[in-house]
Amino acid sequence: MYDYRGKLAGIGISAVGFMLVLAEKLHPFSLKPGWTPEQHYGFFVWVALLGLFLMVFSKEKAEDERAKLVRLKAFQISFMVTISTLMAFSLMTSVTGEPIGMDASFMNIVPATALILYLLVFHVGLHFDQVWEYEDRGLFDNWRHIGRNKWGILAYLVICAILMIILVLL
Amino acid sequence: MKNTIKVERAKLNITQADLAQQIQVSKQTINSIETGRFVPSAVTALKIARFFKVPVEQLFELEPDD
Repeated sequence: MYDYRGKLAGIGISAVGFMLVLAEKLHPFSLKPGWTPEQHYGFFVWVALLGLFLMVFSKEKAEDERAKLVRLKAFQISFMVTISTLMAFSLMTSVTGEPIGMDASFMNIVPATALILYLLVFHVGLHFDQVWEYEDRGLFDNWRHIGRNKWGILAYLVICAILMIILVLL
Repeated sequence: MKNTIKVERAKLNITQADLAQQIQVSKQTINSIETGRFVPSAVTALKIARFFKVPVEQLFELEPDD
């Protein structure tokens, strides 16, 4: 993994990527002659994902045992959700018999899901002190911790709402 | 697992941030350990005990449900 400076670089690259995505969406422009707006858009999304990738694979400034535990849990959750997403697409294709279009925008969904979910779970778990991150006791036993995690749950909801608004606007 | 880190900190009049710096972990980690939400590894527990110059079993105590 990179050290924490990789995270700073990732934040910068993804911020530039997302700003270019937004700019391309609002006022289509051309950087490379011969490229269509769709090609530009796809490339800018890829730049944003590259930034997120750097953030995911960078250490925290204080990468201690608790950070590693929360990181492991975040990786587990994002892996399971990513595989579930792929399995859902696979089932849809098998049942309908129609191949899904594997264009660039679809190919971006899978890494974007994994990277954004990982970053969300990891940072909320790390900074809002989620009890369930340390105690792997199963879903139902964790219900009793909800009261102790109210700020973490609120943070999840706020961040998810912001992401949903951004996605809808795009 | 119960612990007496807060008491030991009060005796030396040091903050969670000071202890975190000495043990080389984050302040949130010390807070999580102190409040019993996170059980530290043997290495971290020994480092904390060595810092306070007390036996580790005096600092950490098992509870019936552990």
